[in-house]
Amino acid sequence: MSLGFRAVQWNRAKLVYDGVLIAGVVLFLAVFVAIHTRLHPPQGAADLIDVWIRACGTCAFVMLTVILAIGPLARLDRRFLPLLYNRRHFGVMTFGVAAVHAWLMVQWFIADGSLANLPGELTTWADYGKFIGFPFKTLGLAALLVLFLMAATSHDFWLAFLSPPMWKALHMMLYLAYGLVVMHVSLGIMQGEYTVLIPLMLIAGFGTVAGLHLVAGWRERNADRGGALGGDGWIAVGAPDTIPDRAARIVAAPGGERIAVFRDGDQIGALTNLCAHQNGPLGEGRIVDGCVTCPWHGYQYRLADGCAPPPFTERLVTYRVRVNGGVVEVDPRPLPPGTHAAITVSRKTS
Amino acid sequence: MTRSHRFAHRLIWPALAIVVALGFTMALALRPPPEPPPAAQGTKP
Repeated sequence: MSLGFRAVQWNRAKLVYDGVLIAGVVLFLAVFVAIHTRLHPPQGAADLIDVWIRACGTCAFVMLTVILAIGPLARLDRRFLPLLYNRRHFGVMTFGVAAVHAWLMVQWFIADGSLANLPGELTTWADYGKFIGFPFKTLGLAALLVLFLMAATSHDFWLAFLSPPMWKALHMMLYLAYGLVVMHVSLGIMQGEYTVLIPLMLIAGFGTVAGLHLVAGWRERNADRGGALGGDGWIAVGAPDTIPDRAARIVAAPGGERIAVFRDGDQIGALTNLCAHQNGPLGEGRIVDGCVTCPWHGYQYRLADGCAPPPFTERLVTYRVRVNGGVVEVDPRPLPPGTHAAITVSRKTS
Repeated sequence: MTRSHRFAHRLIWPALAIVVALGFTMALALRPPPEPPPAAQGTKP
């Protein structure tokens, strides 16, 4: 195939991740259905389907909440990075659970003998002008459509085809889907059920996700401000020893784009902070086996020239570095991807 | 993430939080009151 197509790379970590996910979903559904049927014994087939609709809907909401919390959590605390590693499988599975929720809804109408009413519910145009009474199923269907789009384009083929910035922008539609789901529940089941659990679930879920995103964005605001520029436009990073060995310090270029300045023993080099794979934060990674390693999915690049080790072909933008008066400085003007730019410093300069 | 993605995040989340919080609060405040339980019917003699 074209566009550098690569098959999905399965490994033990991904299998464990998927295994835990599947076990978690099965356990959640089983516990939900067991508790619900005990508290409200179903009176017929339609009632039983209704229990499963609620179970799948709640499960999909919880999964979506966790998925959206992983990103800011990983930015706030490195210990959450392993959750980010296979987040796309999490997303695809969430779409699966949400799709079952929608399919069961159709089954409910069939069991109830009222399938003919379903199209009417969605096409009573006057209801779209109401707030209470708005056809909430449309909101759920719109969210399901977004989840489908995310799942269908989750493979690395689409990442390469669309380019990482475009792919990332497309996948930010998930935020919209989450808002649609909250309103789907608020204008749907919350209008007829007076248990406090539904409002609590929505407040806790959406509040946590929105709060985490706002806190993570606020904390990173300072990092986007450009570093101190010297007279010739170079940015001061600090003494060589202030850059942690086999790790990086991140500085911002005047436009706000970030540069990761790594030190590997006596070698210092600067690369773009954007991994070529998913634009992950390369500067938050470490040097493993002599290569700069992205913390998100382990993509590797040589510090000297930003090239992935053979047989891989990715190349990153590099930046010139120098030591001036005992201070490492970086030139924020990018060099063509794959340009050799690292320097070796003697320990005496530090 | 690129700078534009970070900027979009900082724009989207406050806006989404306000819109959803408003929608949720309205949905909660305007929902119809629960129907009163049916009155117990005496058995006919």
